Amino acid sequence: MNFEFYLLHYNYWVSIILFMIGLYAMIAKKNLIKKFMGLNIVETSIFLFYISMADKADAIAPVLYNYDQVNVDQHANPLPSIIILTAIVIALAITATALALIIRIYEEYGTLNSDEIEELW
Amino acid sequence: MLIILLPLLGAYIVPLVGYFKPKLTNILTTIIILITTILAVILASEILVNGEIYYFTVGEEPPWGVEILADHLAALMALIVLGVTLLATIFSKKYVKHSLKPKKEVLYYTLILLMTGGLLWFIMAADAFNMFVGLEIFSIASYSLTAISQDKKALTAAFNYLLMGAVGSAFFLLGIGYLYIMTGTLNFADLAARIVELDLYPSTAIFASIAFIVTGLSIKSALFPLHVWLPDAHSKALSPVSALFSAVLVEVTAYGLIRILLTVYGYEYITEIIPLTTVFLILAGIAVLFGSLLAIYQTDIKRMLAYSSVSQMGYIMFGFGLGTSLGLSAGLLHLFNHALMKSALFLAAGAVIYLTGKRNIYDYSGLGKKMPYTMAFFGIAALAMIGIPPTNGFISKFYLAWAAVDIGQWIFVIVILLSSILNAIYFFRVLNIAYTRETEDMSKIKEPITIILPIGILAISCIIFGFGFSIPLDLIEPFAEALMQ
Repeated sequence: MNFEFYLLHYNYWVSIILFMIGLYAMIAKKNLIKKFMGLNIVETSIFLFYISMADKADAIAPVLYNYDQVNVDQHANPLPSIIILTAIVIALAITATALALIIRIYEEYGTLNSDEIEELW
Repeated sequence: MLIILLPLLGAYIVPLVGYFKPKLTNILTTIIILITTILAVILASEILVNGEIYYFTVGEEPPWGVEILADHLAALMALIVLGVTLLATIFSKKYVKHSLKPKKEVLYYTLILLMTGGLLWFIMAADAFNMFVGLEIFSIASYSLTAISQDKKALTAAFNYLLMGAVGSAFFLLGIGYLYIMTGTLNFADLAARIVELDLYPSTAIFASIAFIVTGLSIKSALFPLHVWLPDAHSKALSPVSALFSAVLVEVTAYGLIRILLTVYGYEYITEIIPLTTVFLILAGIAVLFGSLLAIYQTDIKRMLAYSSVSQMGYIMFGFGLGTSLGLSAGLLHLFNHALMKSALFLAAGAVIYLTGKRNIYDYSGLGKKMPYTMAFFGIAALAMIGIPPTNGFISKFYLAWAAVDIGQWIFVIVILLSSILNAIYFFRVLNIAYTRETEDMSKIKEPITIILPIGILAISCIIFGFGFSIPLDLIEPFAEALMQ
């Protein structure tokens, strides 16, 4: 566990930092849209995490074009990418639901500040 | 397989039919769920005779094909989900027509079917990522179901629920990611084998994965310190929806948590290497008392029942936390019983709201005479909740106490007794107000059959399963004994 090890895995660090930024936004921001953008950042950080674990140095896309010369070491792992494709669709569904909810909240309360909404509760 | 597909396909058919004939949606939904329930009963009987049933999509064996597994416990959970959903749908017929516009009514039934499909998918998945997809399907349906009620407070409750729930799912996904990095597989059985094979027990990545998965699913199943979204979401939603939430949703996620912990990590890992069961035991002990205490302070009936759910979830995790096969079967038996009792209570509270508009328990005076059937069924379910023999609540609490004595945890027997007393305080207060206080207007209110029937079936089954508790136990015990060695 030396310094180089941490430096070479910088993509994981970026994902962790993004995760933290997202959680901070969800907790500290008062605006509902910002809270919810924090959630999206959290989700994006997880996507990055999955994609970086699938990748290899100098790997190409996992498309089989020649069955005779398949070398597993040359290809990136396709499964995490597929999983993330599904997870992105799910995140999209959550985004749509949340935005629809925010619109309805704004119609009912006339504000997006979570403190003011709590006062009107 | 068909069991999962049918509600999901129904979720496509219902809006199409509802677009032309909104009146048909209730009947159509009821029929779809009824057929699925019959299939689930057939499945359960088959499993009792022949053992587990596997199904591999894409025609490949795991770890390449995606596996769907129906074992004893999955069959029981499917029966709970479908039974409660069926009764709640019948109950919804009058209730939803009264409280929602026709256009939203179609949407409501679509979401109910979507949620049922997602729950069944979650229950029968034998693959970590499939489980996540099922979790998200029913979660998104449940966020929308919370918001669909016309109450404006329901919107903010739904938004808070969405934020908490989405963080829970994100944690769960991250936990799966750690497992995948270390083992390169997602199938449960394969994961368990790889963890042993590669000797990953001391690995910090596996430790991180267990931490993320437990936190994520604990948020979803409202375990004690993470329960804050539950009271608002459960009390502000429509009554049939609250019944589904309290009786099915949080319990299915607790079941998913138990399943992952036991099948993937194994009994030894969670009791000895990381003493997770001890953590659950202590948190559950606090949850049981804390939930009951807070329930006493509530005047809104649905809020009271929601806090009571927090305490009942404590019982289930308490059974798991004891770390013996007896404790686990007691906890799962309580899960089954709680589904019956809590849905009966929520539906009865919903019937009172529908017929009289009363939510505050101090307005319940004279209701015992005004709505004799509803309040009688409410009373039966409340007695079951307190744990008075011969109801099913007594059996599962007795089992839990027995399991606690079995490993010498005397303090937790006291916790169970104390919490039963607290339960008695808040349920007897409601019954006391309903039956002994008089009001001027004593005319009877006509209780429609579609409202009485579901509550009645649930309340009477509380007594039936007090005697016939061996039926759920037959399905629970093989699972508990196989995994708790």
